[in-house]
Amino acid sequence: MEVTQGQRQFTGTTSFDSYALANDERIRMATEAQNPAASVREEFDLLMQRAQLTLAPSWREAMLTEFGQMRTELEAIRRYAGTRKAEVEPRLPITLGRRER
Amino acid sequence: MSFATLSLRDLGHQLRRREISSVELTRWTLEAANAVNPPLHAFISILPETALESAARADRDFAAGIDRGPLQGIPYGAKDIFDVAGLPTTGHSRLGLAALASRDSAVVERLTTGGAVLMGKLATFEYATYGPDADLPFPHARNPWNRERMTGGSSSGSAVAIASGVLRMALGSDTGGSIRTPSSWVGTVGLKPTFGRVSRRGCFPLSSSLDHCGALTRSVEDAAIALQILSGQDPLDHDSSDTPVDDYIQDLEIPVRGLRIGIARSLLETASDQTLANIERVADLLRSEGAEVFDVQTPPLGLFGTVIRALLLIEGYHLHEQDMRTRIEDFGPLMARRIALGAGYTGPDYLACLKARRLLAEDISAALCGCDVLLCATTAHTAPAYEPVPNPFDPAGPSMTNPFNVTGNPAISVPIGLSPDGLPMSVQLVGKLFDERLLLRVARAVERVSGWEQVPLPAVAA
Repeated sequence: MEVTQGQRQFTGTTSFDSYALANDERIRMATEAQNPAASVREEFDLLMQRAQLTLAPSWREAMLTEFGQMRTELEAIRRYAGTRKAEVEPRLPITLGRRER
Repeated sequence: MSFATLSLRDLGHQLRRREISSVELTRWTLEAANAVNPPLHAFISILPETALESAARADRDFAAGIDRGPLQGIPYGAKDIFDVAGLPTTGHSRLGLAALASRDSAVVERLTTGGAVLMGKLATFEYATYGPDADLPFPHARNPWNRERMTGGSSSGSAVAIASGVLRMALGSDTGGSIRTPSSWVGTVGLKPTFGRVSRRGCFPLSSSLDHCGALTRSVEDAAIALQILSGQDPLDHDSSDTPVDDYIQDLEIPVRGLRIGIARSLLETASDQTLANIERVADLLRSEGAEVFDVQTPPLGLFGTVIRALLLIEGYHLHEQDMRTRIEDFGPLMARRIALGAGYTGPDYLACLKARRLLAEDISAALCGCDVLLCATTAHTAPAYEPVPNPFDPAGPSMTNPFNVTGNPAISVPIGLSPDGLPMSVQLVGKLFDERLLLRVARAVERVSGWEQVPLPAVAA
């Protein structure tokens, strides 16, 4: 499966390398997102059924592609979140406790 | 007589000197709105009766010596996700057609108290999400510079009403760039204030931790005047801040000599050559004004995009979950199939996103410790053609606004000129938390030295 130009731009970000996935790994995951494996399709169907959503059949292929991309991005988020400690308090606004002066 | 070239300050002066009346100005604005709507479809609804009543009230107040503030008697518009008592808040959606608001949103309340005149409700993308989607109850707004190019969104009608010369100020909301992206592509000033600076009460939410309310305007001075009215703590919005409100207008013309401007180079990674050249041009202009301009380290653009997409889908899906289950067919297909993806996340996913967000915000704060304002791009390129509608998961997508919804910092899109094919170009400036005063001062300098003020309105203008 060919990797698109957009994915190359994403994977080629030098500063991102220090945070997250190795380059080859990211290309592999991006490729998988373009061609979701059977397990991804099954996971997608399960989640949509659990949510009790009735989706138009014509949406399925585009949604599967975006779902695959979403899983790829989540992996990057998890790895980045694991790079440092930070206190997370969902009830408090993002502006609290930051110093900029 | 046309009022299209008069600033909010000029209009206020003329109204106070009784050289014009608010009724006269409002009648002209109604004619202008109807003349361009169609073909531009900025307005979902135009409200001649209530507008003229408000204008007559403003004129009576002027006659009685009552001054409610700088927008008294001046027309404005509201993106149709802001509640106005007695009117439907359609959200540009079939689901909202019968959703009558019982009271005004906080910002409409402030503008009404200040004597401003509501002209109508403005087009958006469905519930401020994705677009444009052709399968909605109202047409989408068109770019007055070239109707075959996208306006950007979701505050598309707000941007078009201003760029076409009908209004000087319109309300917008910004969850991932919805004030700044259309401002960039349509040639208006778009200020997303600090998270908590402007109340969101009565504004239909999209993603509660990312939503910001603000104004789109024709000029930086107009933006400062609008922010002065809209800012302030609202005890009924639990994210509203009690940080004191500055005077946003008094410093606007102070030179930028000695200020430190940091170019956020990592946030330009998908920018076109033209956009990169614009950044260098603005940097040189600021240097020539005496500012110190240098590169600063910031996290990569793509990481902000991954975090914001997840947060937006999780929180957006949660808000629309019941309707998604029971009447998904009433949504436009673009919003429905994208927001449905929010059902695919788990609780731990959400917490990981919040932690990543906190880390990114701390990195931006660290960058702003070394400078006064960040300089980057609003969009990677000028307004693209309508097809294909961008995939929001495309990491090479045009939006460069996401980072500051993630961090909550104030950010403003300032137009700086026209491209060789006649489309507006812009830059984005970013301030420290709650320091809109300094941000607006730098934005005003960029506006002044860029030459944008000499660019005439597009040919279709009122």
